Amino acid sequence: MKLIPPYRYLRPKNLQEAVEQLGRYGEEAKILAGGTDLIPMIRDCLITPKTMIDISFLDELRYIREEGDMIKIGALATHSEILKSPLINGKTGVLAKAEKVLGATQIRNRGTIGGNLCNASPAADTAPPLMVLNAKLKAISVEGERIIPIEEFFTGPRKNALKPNEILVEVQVSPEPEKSGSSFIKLGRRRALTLSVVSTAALIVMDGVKCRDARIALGAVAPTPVRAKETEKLLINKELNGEVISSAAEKVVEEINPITDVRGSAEYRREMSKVLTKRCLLEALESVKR
Amino acid sequence: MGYLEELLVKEGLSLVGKRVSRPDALDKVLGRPLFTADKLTRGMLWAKIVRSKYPHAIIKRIDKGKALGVPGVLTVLTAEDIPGENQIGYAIPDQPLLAMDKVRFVGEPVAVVVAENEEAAEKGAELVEIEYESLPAVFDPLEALKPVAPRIHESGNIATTTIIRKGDVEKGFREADVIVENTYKTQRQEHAYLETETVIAVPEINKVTILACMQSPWLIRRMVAKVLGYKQSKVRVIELPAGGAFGGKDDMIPMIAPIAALAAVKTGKPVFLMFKRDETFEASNKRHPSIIRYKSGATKDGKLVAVEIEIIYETGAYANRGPFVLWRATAHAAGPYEVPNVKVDGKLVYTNRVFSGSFRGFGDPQIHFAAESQMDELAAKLGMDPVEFRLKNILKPGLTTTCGQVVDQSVGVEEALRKLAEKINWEKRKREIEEYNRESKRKLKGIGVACAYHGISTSRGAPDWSAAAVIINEDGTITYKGGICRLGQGSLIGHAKIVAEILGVPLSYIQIEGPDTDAIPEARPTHGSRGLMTGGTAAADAASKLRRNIVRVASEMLECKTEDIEIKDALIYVKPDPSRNIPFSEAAKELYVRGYETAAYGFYRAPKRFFDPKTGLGVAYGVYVYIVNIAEVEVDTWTGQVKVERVHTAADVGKAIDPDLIEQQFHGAIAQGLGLTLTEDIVFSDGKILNNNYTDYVIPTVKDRVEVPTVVLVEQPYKGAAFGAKGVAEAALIPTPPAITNAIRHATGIRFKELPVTPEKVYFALKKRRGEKS
Repeated sequence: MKLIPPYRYLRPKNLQEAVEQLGRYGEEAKILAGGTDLIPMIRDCLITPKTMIDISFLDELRYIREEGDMIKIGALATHSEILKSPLINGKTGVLAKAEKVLGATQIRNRGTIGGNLCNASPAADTAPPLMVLNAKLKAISVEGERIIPIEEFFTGPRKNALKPNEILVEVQVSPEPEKSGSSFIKLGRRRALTLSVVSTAALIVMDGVKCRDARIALGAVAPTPVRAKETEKLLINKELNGEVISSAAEKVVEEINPITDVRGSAEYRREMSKVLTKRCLLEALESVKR
Repeated sequence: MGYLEELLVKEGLSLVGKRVSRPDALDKVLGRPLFTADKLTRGMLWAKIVRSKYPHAIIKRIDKGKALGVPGVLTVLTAEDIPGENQIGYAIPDQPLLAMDKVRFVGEPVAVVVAENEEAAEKGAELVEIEYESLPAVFDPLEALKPVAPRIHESGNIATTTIIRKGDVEKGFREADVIVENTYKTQRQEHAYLETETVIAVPEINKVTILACMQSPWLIRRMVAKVLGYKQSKVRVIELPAGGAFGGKDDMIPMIAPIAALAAVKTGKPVFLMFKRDETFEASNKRHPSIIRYKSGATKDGKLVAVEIEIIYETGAYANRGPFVLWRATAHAAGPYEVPNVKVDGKLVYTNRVFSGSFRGFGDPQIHFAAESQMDELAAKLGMDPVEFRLKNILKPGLTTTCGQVVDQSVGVEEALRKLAEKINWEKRKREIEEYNRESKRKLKGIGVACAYHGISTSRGAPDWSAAAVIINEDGTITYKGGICRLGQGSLIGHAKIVAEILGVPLSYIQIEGPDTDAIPEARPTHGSRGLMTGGTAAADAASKLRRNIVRVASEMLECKTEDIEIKDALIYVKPDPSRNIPFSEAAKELYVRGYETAAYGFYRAPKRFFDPKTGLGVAYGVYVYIVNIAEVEVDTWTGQVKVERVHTAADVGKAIDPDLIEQQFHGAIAQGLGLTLTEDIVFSDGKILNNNYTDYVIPTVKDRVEVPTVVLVEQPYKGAAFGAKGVAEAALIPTPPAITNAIRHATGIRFKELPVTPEKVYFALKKRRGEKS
């Protein structure tokens, strides 16, 4: 236990002000949203921000809405809000499934989707589902706004593609396509409040018995959440059955690079990546609305 | 007839044996009770312990200068500032309050910074400069036993040894038709209480008062007096409700209250000392890790003939309670069975890791994990059902325990096992599960049984007693002063039921007060499942004495014989003519007016226990609590995850003072046993703990809670205690690990001999076996 060095606390009145403040203090500032990751890290002195910009009161970033063929989720939407949203449950079930097993009620009530992504943990539970949904992330700064594909967002453990003056404001996803099925499976060390040892999301789009598109993403098995594109190729344009899925799932170990830590060994993570990918694909196939 | 005999045959009980809602339950749910940290007030100083960063090192120099320069820091205390003895070893004088010449584990207290506020204390603690000379360290008990190992204490690396020599094991094994031999290992477990260790010390003129969550008020008094060089009467210890204790606070508060007291006496101001969560993980006692080599033999008709056991318990840097823990494990080593030939050798081994100590079960979970795994392996080898095999050997009145003690009463383990097996339909359930497994590809189910026994109260024949007091107030309300601490277990509620039952008043008449060393004589600690039994019997003694005075004054008021007085629902009446009556409150007032004693002290003294140090044989405990758990599991063969679907439990509790309180203990103990079995483990790297937080030290959450659908309470009374009741706080934890691993064995055919049984271990064991098969 060390002493937390004093820091400057700012509470912007609106997004505009937040962007300006971040423009001013960028390098030395941290954005505080739900605080479920940031506060423990500050407590443990893993980071020592000089400035904290508390955006948790900016209701303008707290929304879940459909615009055209897009579902837009404000960065400050909490996990509980997303979990309870009929829109999310109806059109992006894979995300709802992940939110259900994220943390526990108290964490879900405070934690936000933006925070979960910006924290850039390899084990972030919302990352694999958003990756299979091909999510786009909107960031803004004093220089303007830009869209970052989620695949380019994670750059290393606890590292993301945001510039120091950029703030993540919105997550954009397309609804799961027709004739598609999806699933998310998390392997933790208990039934709640647990970091993933391995997590897997899958989304498949079918054309009759043939697989038109397949997307697989995994968490906690590499420095960042990863898409398993080579594995996906083994499924696309194939007739899907247990055998095809099982043999494709074996491929996934070539696309990951797990480590050994107190949560699990690299060897177990490799084995479980195969098992979870297979289970997840089977469940996704099962859930395809025909 | 003495009061204990009277209570055993007392009829028409109105509170004892009934389910009564806990008077403190709603308050707890609403967060109303005040814990020690809630008593922090303005003006109290903060104490912060400066801890060793080395697992084994010589202290060359301590420089307080920079720390004393921090604004708000009043003093920095080290070993040389201790006026009395710098010694807090429990069983062996091997542990200083503050390290003097060397440190033996990462986290050992070296200095204490006392400051006006938390920030200054923390800052000061960072700036105390300690120069160390690092020594080679040893982290493994087997390594520590080697002659070349670094010496942790001058006496060597073995803190103590134990033995049992009963019968002739060589002869026994010659008679055996089957022999099973295995080595079992268990891990370090953290108590994980919600409330960390917290103490307030308030100085007075030539006296000091301690307020804290605790389990052992009088031990704290002794330790504080020893460290300060005070007489015991100059130290007052007031117990506050604890946010969980589980044995941890039995050891820890006596080790840290003297630190707060020292700081208070040196500064002349009240001092607040509270562990941060990482300090609790790094510097508080843990369950002893064990390595147990266990050889068992049985005849082909299923009779146990011999067990030969080597026990190694790792005590870490200091012996603490280890000699008692090891002794208890030794005395229970064969499980609740009669085995004619027993040989046990125990070693308590030092390492450079945080010291081990008291933890619910106190050495018995480890040894029962080995013993009960062995029972199933023997049954399998004999082709016998595990329940049937156990029943052939189970303890019954007149038979002898591991250490040759003849158990004569309250030995309801056979009844518990038979009733539980019958109630859950063991045979049928087992067959159903085996059928399910023949069809199932991915998930396998299993059912497993384990029995246990646990001697109530203290080990090694240490003298044992308890005390309590009752005051009748002028309005008829009763103030009950208990000697047993409030850990959440509700012992004092049990006592209050006993007092109310004896006095004939509703429970609401009793005001329950926790221990205060200035209010009642020593009552001994709250541990060893002794709180309800020993404290409750002292309460019954006090209440019976007070009742005699009430009856006497009432007989004068109602002009009848004392034998004719009856008291029920706070009404005192003449038995042959209930229309002649007075309210309880009037009699209370008259006690004062007529000059009768309006208060009574109660005492309990345990029967004498003894053992022969040459053979380990003797009378180890006054009485034992017996328990049987049956676990049902589902193993996911794809991931190795084990889901404990339910645990059924049965126990001989002597007499259930309150079945609700007992069931609450069973639920909690099974949850803690679940963590021990499947997930919990303290992980080290070079003597430093890697998972000093709840993210990576994995205790079960409410979602992992195990269903306990069947509870069978067997009541074979123990004549030495009020109403025949025995303690149950530890019992259900003890057979939980082997019941689960026996169920996993039933499901998969694989015997897991090391705890915790993580998904990873299960997965690779299954994979290995698939490889062997193909």
